[in-house]
Amino acid sequence: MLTQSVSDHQLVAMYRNGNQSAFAELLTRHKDRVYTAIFLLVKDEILAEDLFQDTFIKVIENLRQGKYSEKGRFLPWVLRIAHNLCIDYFRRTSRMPKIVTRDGVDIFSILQFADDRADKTMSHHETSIVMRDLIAQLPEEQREVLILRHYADLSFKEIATITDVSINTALGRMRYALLNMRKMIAEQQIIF
Amino acid sequence: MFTTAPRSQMIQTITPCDLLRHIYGETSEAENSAILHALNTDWDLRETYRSLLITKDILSQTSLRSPSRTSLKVIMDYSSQTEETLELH
Repeated sequence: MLTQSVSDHQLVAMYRNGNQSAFAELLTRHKDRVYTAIFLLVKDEILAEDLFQDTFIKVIENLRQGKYSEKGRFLPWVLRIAHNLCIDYFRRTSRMPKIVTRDGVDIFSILQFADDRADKTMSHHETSIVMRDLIAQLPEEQREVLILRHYADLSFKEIATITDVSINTALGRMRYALLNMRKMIAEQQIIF
Repeated sequence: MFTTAPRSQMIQTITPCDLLRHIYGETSEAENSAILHALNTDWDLRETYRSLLITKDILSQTSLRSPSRTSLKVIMDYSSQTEETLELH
């Protein structure tokens, strides 16, 4: 069994040598961050599933074709692919993300809270629902940076590269994203 | 261009963007010291820091979501199939 002690780069090398378990480990390791980033960007569960599949299929193809550079980290590389696929989708369909109100607890039924007690889970769900609604109301550029920094765990430098802006622009967008989140929380008198 | 400002003055030039990098763990040891010093002497900066930190903590209460098992199976199946195709060639 492959453990966390094996680095992403090592797993990529093993996969290139035909080790399917190595790819399974990479997928397991990064699936939640990649999926959450896609979902928060497109705000549509079915579309997010499709784009998630497309992302990793493209990852497989690029790895097979030797297109992955070992200079960078694996996750930012995957998220760049995911981000580009989301942008392509919006361009193709001329559909920019709309503000969608929450559609109930069903969305969160697949969330895994293995460590949470049942009595904590509801408040955790409620918080998640409220926060996702607020994130959805942010301007597109701010939302993008916030998702990539906070949920995908990319550095500001990596985000700047992916979104093709300067690091100061990425930082500025993140700052305003947090300020706007704080403002919305205050306006709506939400208590966490 | 070189600045002629004294060293102590330069150290205290901390911006909200520096605070942002700090709360996300992207600052160096030297920057951390400068930021801590600035936070101890600048009330406005400390309030900005507190506000950013609270919002970050609230965001952290939102859990990551997982893709469906179907999606994971589709991906792993594709990976296996492409490997078989490569072997055939």
